Amino acid sequence: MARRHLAGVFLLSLAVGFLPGAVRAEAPDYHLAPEAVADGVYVLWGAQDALTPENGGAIANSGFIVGDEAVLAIDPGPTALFAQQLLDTIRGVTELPVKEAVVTHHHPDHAFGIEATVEAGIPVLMHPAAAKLLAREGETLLGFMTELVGEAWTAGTRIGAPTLAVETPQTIDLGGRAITVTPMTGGHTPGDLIVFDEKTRTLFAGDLVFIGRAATVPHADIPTWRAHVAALKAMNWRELVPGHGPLVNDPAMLDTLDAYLAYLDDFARTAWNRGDSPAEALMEPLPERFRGLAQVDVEFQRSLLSLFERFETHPPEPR
Amino acid sequence: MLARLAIGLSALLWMTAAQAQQADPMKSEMWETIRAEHLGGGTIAFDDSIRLMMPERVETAFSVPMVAKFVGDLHDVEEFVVIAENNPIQGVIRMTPYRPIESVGLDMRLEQSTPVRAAARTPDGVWHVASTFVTVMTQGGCSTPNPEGGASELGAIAAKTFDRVGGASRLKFKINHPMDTGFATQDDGTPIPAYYIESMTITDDHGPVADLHTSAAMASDPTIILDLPERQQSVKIDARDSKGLLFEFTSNPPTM
Repeated sequence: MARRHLAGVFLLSLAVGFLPGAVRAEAPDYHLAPEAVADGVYVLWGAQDALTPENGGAIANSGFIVGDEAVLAIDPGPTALFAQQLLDTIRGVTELPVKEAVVTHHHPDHAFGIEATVEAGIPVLMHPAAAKLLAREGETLLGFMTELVGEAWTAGTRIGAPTLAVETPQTIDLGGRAITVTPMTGGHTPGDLIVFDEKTRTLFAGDLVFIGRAATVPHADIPTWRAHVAALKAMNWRELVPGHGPLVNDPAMLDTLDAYLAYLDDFARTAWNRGDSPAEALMEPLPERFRGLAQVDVEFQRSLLSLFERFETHPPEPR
Repeated sequence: MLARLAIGLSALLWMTAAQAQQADPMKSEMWETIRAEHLGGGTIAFDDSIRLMMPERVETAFSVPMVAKFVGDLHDVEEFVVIAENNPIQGVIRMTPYRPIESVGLDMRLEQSTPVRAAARTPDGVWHVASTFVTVMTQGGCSTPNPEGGASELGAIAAKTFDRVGGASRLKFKINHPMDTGFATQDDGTPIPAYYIESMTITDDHGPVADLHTSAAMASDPTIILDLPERQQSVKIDARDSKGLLFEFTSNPPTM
């Protein structure tokens, strides 16, 4: 009996916005504009939005760090086109070669540029657990991505595999600049990496940090994630680049994320343990303090459905 | 003269209000057909007797939760029906309760974005109808193969009771079954034949609770919820599928 695997459907956590409109007539262009957030550290800010034909899936933050001899790229984005335009953008800033690219985790808005990056001859680093999830769910998710943003954006995008596995902390030497890539797993997804530039003390935290936007939990273990957030707050960074949202320069900016995760976890467990259907739990209004988060209505509903689905096989402990 | 005019006017207003109640709040072009096919000729009241709860928007629609809560005086329901208008299988469930029931919940398939109706018929022949619209992002809840399911035994039933706020007792049970619609094909094009639970009977220590006629528009491995005003001591569930297989669940007898 063919049971096509669709367990990762909820992963397209950023996808629920609007149905795709007509395919654009003109060739799509991400119009990437790198911002220097520290000396030699550049960020390409994603839209705080769902996946839409307008943004082509560019809703997450990507970046690159320029050393004396080489460049490190971070998160090649949602499509092959994005990855190519990211490399073009880097070439517009420096003539130095891109030595490697780090992919913080397997979600489509961060990882679908892998194949195009590998094709450009650049080694791609990823956590093996993320590589496994990408291999398992990538094709299905690429289908959803195409449906939501339109084929003009995803044309030429294929699900790639990373070339290097990062399971323990590694240092990348860009020439006069040491970058540390560290796994921080089992919280947001089973295979997250964070990237730290020692020179400017800039931390790329990937989707372990959402600022001003509702976090997504389809592959998350919330208690572990919250422990990671506490650890991130205590780290010695000067500026933190979140996976979604603006630059962070104060650890207290992570408090809303932590409070939202705590609320979601507690609310879902309580509702499950009193025998609620998710249809009933969804009727409860969201606390005032979370209503300003981008995409929160859509994300909270999706998160609750996905947590309930998990509780079917892994019931939460009563509290 | 003036008084008579006032009475006439108020009667006119009253009639307008009554007629407005009969107008479909979803403004569905299919409503009259749906009504004739699924509800017969009874009077329709689009009123607040049922609170219908569903997500407004789902990404995939293999298993969309629904709860219908009977509010106010709606305790003497003779028949309860759930309809997903834009499904290839529109009728999801038809239930005959033998006792007052406070809420009914289930998981259903939605092929595409659709109005969903929950309708309860009272002894006066009136169908009280609640409607909601669910937006489905990725079509095919009825026409694509089920997502990979659990490895549990076909027909296995797991049930649990909960004491609810307000004193109701909730029976929540899940039955493992593919609930294949007959509209899906395997990757090689082979059709997956229809195969689903077609009826269930629920009994407790106070006697029969309800008979349920179910269709493949219910989700695979569906969860079903029934709220009763009184607490059950023991529960028996009998299910029959479209191949005639019988499945049974009996809760542990009460401790003396």
